[in-house]
Parts: sequence; structure tokens; C-alpha cells
Amino acid sequence: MFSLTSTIDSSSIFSPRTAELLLRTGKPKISTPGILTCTSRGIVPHLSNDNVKRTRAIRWVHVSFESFLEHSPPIPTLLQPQHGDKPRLNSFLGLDENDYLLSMSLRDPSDGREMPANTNTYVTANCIRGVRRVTPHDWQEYVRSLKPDIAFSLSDIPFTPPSYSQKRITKSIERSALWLQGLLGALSASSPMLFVQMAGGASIPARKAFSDSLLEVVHGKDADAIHPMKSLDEGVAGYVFDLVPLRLALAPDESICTLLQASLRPLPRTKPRLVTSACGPHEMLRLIRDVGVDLFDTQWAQRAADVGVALDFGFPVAIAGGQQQLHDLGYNLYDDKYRRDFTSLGIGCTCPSCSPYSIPADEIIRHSSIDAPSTTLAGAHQPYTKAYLHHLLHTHEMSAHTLLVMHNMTVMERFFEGVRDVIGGAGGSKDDFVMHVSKFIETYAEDDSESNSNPEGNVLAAARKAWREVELLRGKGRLSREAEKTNQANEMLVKEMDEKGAEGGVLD
Amino acid sequence: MEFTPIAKCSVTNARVARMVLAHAETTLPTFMPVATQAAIKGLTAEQVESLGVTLILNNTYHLSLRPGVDILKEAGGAHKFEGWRHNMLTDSGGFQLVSLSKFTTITEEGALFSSPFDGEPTMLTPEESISIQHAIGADIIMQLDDVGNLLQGPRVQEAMERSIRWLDRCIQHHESSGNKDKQNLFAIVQGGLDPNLRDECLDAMLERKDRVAGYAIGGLSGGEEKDVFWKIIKQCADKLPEDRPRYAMGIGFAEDLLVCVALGIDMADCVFPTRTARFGVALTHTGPLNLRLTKHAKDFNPIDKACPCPTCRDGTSRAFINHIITHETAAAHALTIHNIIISAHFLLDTLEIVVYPEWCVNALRSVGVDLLENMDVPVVPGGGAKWEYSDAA
Repeated sequence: MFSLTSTIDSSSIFSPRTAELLLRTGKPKISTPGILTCTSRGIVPHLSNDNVKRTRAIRWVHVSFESFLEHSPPIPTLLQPQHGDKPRLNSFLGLDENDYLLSMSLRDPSDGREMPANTNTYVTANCIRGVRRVTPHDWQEYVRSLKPDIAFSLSDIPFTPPSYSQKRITKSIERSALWLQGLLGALSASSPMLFVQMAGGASIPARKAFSDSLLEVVHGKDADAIHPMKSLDEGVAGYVFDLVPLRLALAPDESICTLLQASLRPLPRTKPRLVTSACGPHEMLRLIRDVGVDLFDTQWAQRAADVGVALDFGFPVAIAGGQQQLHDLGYNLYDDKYRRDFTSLGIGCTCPSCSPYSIPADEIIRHSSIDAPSTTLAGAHQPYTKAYLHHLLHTHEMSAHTLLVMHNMTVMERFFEGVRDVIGGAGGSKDDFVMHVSKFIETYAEDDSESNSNPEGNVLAAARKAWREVELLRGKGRLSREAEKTNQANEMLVKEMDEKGAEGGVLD
Repeated sequence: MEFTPIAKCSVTNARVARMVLAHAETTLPTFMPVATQAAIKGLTAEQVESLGVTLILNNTYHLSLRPGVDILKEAGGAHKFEGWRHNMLTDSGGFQLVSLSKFTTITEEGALFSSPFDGEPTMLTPEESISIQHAIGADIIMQLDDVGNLLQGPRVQEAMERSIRWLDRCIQHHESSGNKDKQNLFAIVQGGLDPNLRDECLDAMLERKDRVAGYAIGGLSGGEEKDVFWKIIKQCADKLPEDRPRYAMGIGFAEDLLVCVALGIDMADCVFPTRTARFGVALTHTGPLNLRLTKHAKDFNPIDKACPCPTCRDGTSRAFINHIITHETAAAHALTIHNIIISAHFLLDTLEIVVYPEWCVNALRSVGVDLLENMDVPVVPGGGAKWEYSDAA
């Protein structure tokens, strides 16, 4: 259940608030504002499961189902339940149901690529073998079979080129409501909690209309389908806002906050509000301050680890103010200035990169009865250094990203701990949060490179560029690129020799 | 170094020993995973430690290019640089010069190669190799040898003889450096596939026994016939002293490990288990599984139910690995963990291997084991393990 524990301004439905989400006893309790971890093909990128377990910041894992569509029926749905009624998705991914909360959506919320149009009967989704059509009925079956803790309902969010006509937007909200109703009817009481992806695009009236349709009392045959619920909203446990399609549809002078508020205004304030693909702590803080958002996925922080950035920021800001230049949100470890930097990624950080070897010695695998336990080891608990990470990045070693993901996830979790502490009013006035948000925005340079308003201007942009350079130099396809270069050089040489020969037989 | 043989097999020449080095203790026999560029591909040092690995290999050639000797010195050595708390061995850098550089020339002074950075001619002498290994700070360091893997004809003898002369220069340089109490120098027995040359090399290197901490057998694993391979290993292992560790360089296939241990080898290294993992191959006691193949897509069994590695213990299915392998680096990590554990076990509970190649049967007969006695196991002719190349196989 989702229980609000504190609200800064109880007269506003968009007030920043703290809460706890506990699905049932024994499941991990999620404190909000808080985070969920993104996956690719069902796995947290760069982390084998033993490292997922080492990263205590990972509690809620979100799975995009579409990568499994390359087989029909999708492979995880074929898994035979082994121990009682153990959820298939947990078993397949190797994540214990008592340690992890799993949510599942059809599409990858961070994927904004153009897609063929959805219709009344299906949505289009991406897998490695191309585009697949998924009907609302298919989705009901997948959800029923895999039993994630939380399922996102199927919504009709267009990924055709904008802008969208009035008619298209109307279709979108009608279909989304209809498919939600179908899913509610198909699921029994003990099945996954449903979060609904809020439709309506960049149109304020359409967003409001969609919310209204959730609250409408359903009549006739439709009412029988969802009995004993009276409205769709009764069956909805949370509201989801995907920012990627919103950014695509948004006019330059419009604000995402206004759109989210338009959706939430008619709805009860007691349900969690989840945002996907927020671009860093600045955007997250604004969404908490202005909309009262509760949950964010960490796509941005995980992507930073992909491109060699170790995040380093906190909330409330601990750096002394009054400085001219804005601070970076982290370190671009590709930068040559870290070649000899033997400091850790973050002072006091508890992640497996900054505080390694937290595993008790008796959990180390022994290969024979006479293997000695490692008791008297020098260099215990030494953090990995920026210089080491710099080396791993430039030598194209995968371990760099493993260490960075574990670190960045931990930085995000600690950041949200700080947010919760301030909102919860641990020793301060209620205006504290707004003040601290302003201070954060004044202290740290925002990562606005994704929005193209400032494509080169910060540490993440520089890291993305350096990542591409090393990838081209050493990554996949390097051998064929090198062979091509050698061929070109040879051709040049032959051509040169031919020309010289023609000029008078220098080579003879 | 403290090297204490603990037990010897009553039938074969296999033995168990304890080796105490500057950083930690290692039980032998052991398989050393390779951390070419200061990391086992994709894993963290903590993860490697959790697998019970106590001795890893770093490559001198790679580390001297990146991060470079200066940075390693500033960091306080490779152990500190990469956060590794147990033992480490470095090679001499010579093998990579021959295998990776097209322009290496061997002279009596050392190996002349063109620098990969600026193309300038650069000389790696035995003294320079030892100096670099001092900067890296591994617990076991290797002499620079004139690598014989790719040689034929009179060059084999020349390389063997030069390796002895270079050993003397390495010993000299190592002893005068003051690092002798922390780092242990191993000699490398060369001599190609010729038993007479091997004998000559063994004799010369045994004369220097008091000044070397252990012996490696080099020049093998270059695609030679298995029946030649095991005979050379046996010849060397038989002659090498009981009170020195014996290290077979570049050995990593399951049957090779099994045979080497039975013949009295204590240590082996190979990139094979970790490299093959990145190509989607999981090693098992019944042969390699190519998990990229569609035939594993619906197989919900773990790779090996009895395997103690985190991947198998979690019940990670072959189907799930099939779904992520070659797409997600974490799939390679999951298989790397598994293959390291399995390789360690090939050295210890080798009798669980179910299919024996004929050459293994012959090799083990030489040390008094008849694999086929009282056992109904299939024997396959030729090189060994059957590989899954396609779904049809």
C-alpha cells in the first residue's frame, strides 16, 4: 500500500510529499520520493546478478517486455512454475521476489524512435527482429503469466512523427481507457497492481479528459466487466508519465510540469506518481517541487555510467555557496586530468566501488577443504580510484561501467534520501525544501544536453563525445575499420607508385 | 616465498601444496584467470575474490603501455591500482611482443619492436622487463625468454640457449634490485617440442635452482599435437625439483588441465575460459555449451545445477543467457564468473569429466591411471571436446 507520511503544503495537491510503498509484508519497502532501476533485455546493464545484489540502492527493477517479443510465444511465458506459485518474471530474471520489486511495461520508456502507427486493435513494439504488433489481449496474457508486482497498462502513445491532430489525440485517450478497462476485467484481485500510463500528449484538455474518463462511473456491460469497481480509477494503483514522448510532442514554450498537473488535478492525491526518463536531478527536483512526483527511473544516471561519468552531488547541497562557476554533476573520467587522480569516486560513498569488500569472508567460494580463509589481507576496503577508472575506460574494459553503475545508482539513492529528509522536515521549516531546490539549481550545472539547447556545455556531453571516440578506436567493429584503413593506405600507395612510374620510371 | 607440498596423489604425480607470497596464501594446484589490462574482463576485484581466486595474472606488455610504469609506481603498484588483495603474477612481456607486434626482431640484447604509440624502435631487454615487473609489483615475476611457440628449425635451439643467458641477466638484475624478498622470479623452460633440447634447458636451469623461486614450462600451447604436448609436460615435470612450484603457461582447456595436474603441474593460466565466455560459451563437465544457439533458447535449466558459482546458484537459466548474450555485457560477466569457477574445479575434481579424449587416456596411463578401468565411459579420438558450432550439431 502507498501511505503518505508527510506533505509540505496540505492545501495543494501538487505539494512535495514523502510516502512509503509496501505491496505486502516481506516485500521491500520503497520510500518516496525514490528510484527504480532500468533494465535492458531484462538485465540491469553492466551488472551480473551478484553485482545487483551488492548494490543496495537497487530495490525496484523495471522491465520493458518488448525485447522478449522476438520469440512467439515470448520465452519467459513458457517457464513452468517450479515452487508453488512463484512469479515467473522473478524466476526468469533470477531476482528473489522477497528482495526486489518488479514492474513491467510493454515499451522501453526511454525509446523515442519513430514507430509505425498503433491501431484500434494493437500497438507496435520493438524487438531485435523488428516491429511486433501487440494486442490488448496479448498484453493481458503476458501480465497474467509473468506476474510482475506492478504492471503498466497498455496505453496508446503515438511514436509517429508529431504534430498530432485533434482526432489522433482523441483516439489515443479513448483507446488507452478502453484497454485499461480490458486489463482490469482480465485480472483477478490477487494479480499485479496496475499503474496507468497517462495519455493525452501535449494537449492540456486531452490530458484532463483522460483523467476524467478514469473517474467516470462505468455503466452497462462495461460495469459488469470491472465489477465490483465502479470506475477505472478504483483499479489503478499509480500514475505514470513518460517524458520521452512528451518532450517529442512539446512546443518550445510549454512546460512539462503544466502537462503533468493537468493530468493529476482531477485525480485522488493518494496514489503514487511515477516519471520515466527524467534528465537528471534538476528536472527531478522541479517535478517534485511543482507536481509532487514520487518516483523516478534512473535512466539518466545509468546512461551517465555508460559514457564514463561518475556522479557526485548531494541534497541538500553541501558545497559552500557564493561561487561564480557552477559545479559539475560528476566527473568525466575519460578526461586526462584523472590519469593520476588516486582519490575515490565519492567521499563517504557506500557503493561497492567506493567501499568494496563488504562481503563476509565466509561467503567466498572455497575450492577445497584446505583453502585458507582470507583473514590477514593488506589493503582492505581500499576504494577504486578515478585513475583506475580512467585506465579502464581508455582500455575499453567493461569493468569500468560495472563500477560506475553501482556507484551512480548509490549516488541517486542517497540524493533521494536527502530529498526525503528535507521534505519530511527533519529539523527545519516547511519552506526548507523549496529553498534547498533553488540552492541546488544555483550550485550545479544542469544536464540540458539532451534537450539540444546546450549540446556541448557540460560534463556529460563531454563524456558522451569521449565515449564515442574510444568506442570507434577500440570497440565493436574495430578490426574491420582498421582493415579498411589499411586497404585505403595500400591503395594510396599503389596509386602513388603508378603515378611515379608514369612520370618516368622512378621505381625501376 | 614459502612453498610447502602438503600431499601427493598415491597413484599419479598430482600434488597439493601451499604457497605463501607477499600478499596472501594460495593453495595449489590453481588456475590463474588473466587480467590483461588490470581487470578480469568485466569483473571487479571484489567479485574475483568472492570466487575464491587467490592468484591472477597481469600482462606486463599491456600494463607498460597503459596506464604506464610511472602511474603504476605512483599508485604503489598494480595491486593497489586495481584494488586486488591477493597474489599476482606478471609475464615478461616477451610473448605479446611476438604475438601482437608484426615488427619484433630478437637480438642478443633483447627484443626490438616498434612502439605502438609513435612507431619508434624500442628495445625490451631482460633487465628492462624485470624493472617493469618491479614497478608492477607482482608476487611472482617471469624471466624474459626468447619465446619458442612460433619457431622451427635451428631457431628453437638458439631460442632455448638464449633463454638461459637471459635468465642469468634477469637473476642478476632482480637480485641487485632489492625486491627479492617481495617478488619471486620464475625461470621458463624452453626447447620447443624436442626432448633433447628440453633436457638441455632443464639441466642448465636446474643449475640455477638456488636463485629461482619456481619453474614455468613455456613454448607449448601453440597448436602442437596433444601426444607431443603431454610428453613434454611430463618430461619437464618429472625433472623439475619437488620443492619448487611448476607452472604450465597458457594451458586452459579442461582436459589439458586435468592431464597437467596428474603429471605434477601446480599452476596454469589461460585466457580461454574468460574469452570463450564473452563469445557465449559456458564450460561444463560434459563439454562446452554454446549458449548463443537457438536450441538453448527454451532451456530453463541452469548451466550446471551442481556449480557453486553465483550464476548457477541463482538458477540463471540457459534461456535467459541466450536472451542477453552478445547484447548485454552482463551476460558475458555471468558466464565469465561461471567459467572461472569451472576451470578451478577442472584442476581439483577432474574425474567428473565424462568423455575422455584418447590422448588423455594415454597421458594418464603414463602416471599409472587407467581411466578406462572399471569404467564405462566413451573415448573420442583426436583433440577432445566437441564444440557446438550450430543448432544442427
